[in-house]
Amino acid sequence: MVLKIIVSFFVLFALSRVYLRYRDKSVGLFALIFWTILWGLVLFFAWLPRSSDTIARILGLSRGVEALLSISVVVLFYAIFRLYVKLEFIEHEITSLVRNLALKKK
Amino acid sequence: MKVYIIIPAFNEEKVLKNVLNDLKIHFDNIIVVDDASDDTTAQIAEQEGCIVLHHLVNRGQGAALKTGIKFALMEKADIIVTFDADGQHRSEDIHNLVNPILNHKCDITLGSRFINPESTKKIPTFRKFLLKCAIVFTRVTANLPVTDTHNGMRAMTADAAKIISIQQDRMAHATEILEEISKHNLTFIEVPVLINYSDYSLDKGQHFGDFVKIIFKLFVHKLK
Repeated sequence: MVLKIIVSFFVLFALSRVYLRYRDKSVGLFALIFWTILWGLVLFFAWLPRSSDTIARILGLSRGVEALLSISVVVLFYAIFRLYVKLEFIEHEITSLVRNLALKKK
Repeated sequence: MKVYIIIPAFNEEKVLKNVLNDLKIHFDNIIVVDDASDDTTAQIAEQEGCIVLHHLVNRGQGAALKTGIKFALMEKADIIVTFDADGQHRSEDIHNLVNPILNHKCDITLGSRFINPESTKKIPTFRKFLLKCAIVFTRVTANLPVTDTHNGMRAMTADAAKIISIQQDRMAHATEILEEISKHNLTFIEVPVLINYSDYSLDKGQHFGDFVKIIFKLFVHKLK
């Protein structure tokens, strides 16, 4: 029960950050909706852990926690890959900028 | 025929003056791309009368090479030669690289230390092993039967330089250039070159970790 309360407070804190970022236009509406759903799911499974057993059965796993962890790991790997690709793109943009400045001086 | 020598340089103040003096005997159009060195590399290149391009922040050898090539093309170069700044290369070898292009035998010439028996003896054992692994890797990825995949000495026609697209900013550009040659069916010849190994150049050269990074970079690039 204590853990559920701690998780709930953390989720509320995270949601408040997301909302503040949306209000100062650091993130758009899509990001607001996405993160609200994601944190909402965290809150949902924190209070109703047995509901994850349905997901576990579909995936052929014995426990809901395993299912949630497995899905989380896959999603995290994909998120890291997307971040890496984005980072590479930004690096190329910086290189283009540096090159244009170098050539402009000549 | 206008021949431009492109030298990407990062913190090479210890050897650059000798490298440029050696080159100036044979060639007029020398472009040094200073990749945000924090020593006197750029000043030395300017004092030696070279064309110096400055990167405000360090972007890597591949990026510096691309900047130099782009400038050379703007200057209407006919032949572009890439040359390392660390003193490993000999200026005399440039003639061997340029001649086949002048005689219209190929689009690109690639320097190879493994064709020159004198050079082969001097390669440190572990470095030789890594280079051989790189050759196998390149034969699989680029399907190119080359004997030296990470030699900074190469010469190309302006047309070939326009076709080759260097996207890799750091050391993976060497493999990328070979992949571009294969992709665009550019004709090439390998030419024996001598590599001068010194403690300085070995320290600056690629190590095992660099090869792992190169493979990772090329792998991710293909996934994008």
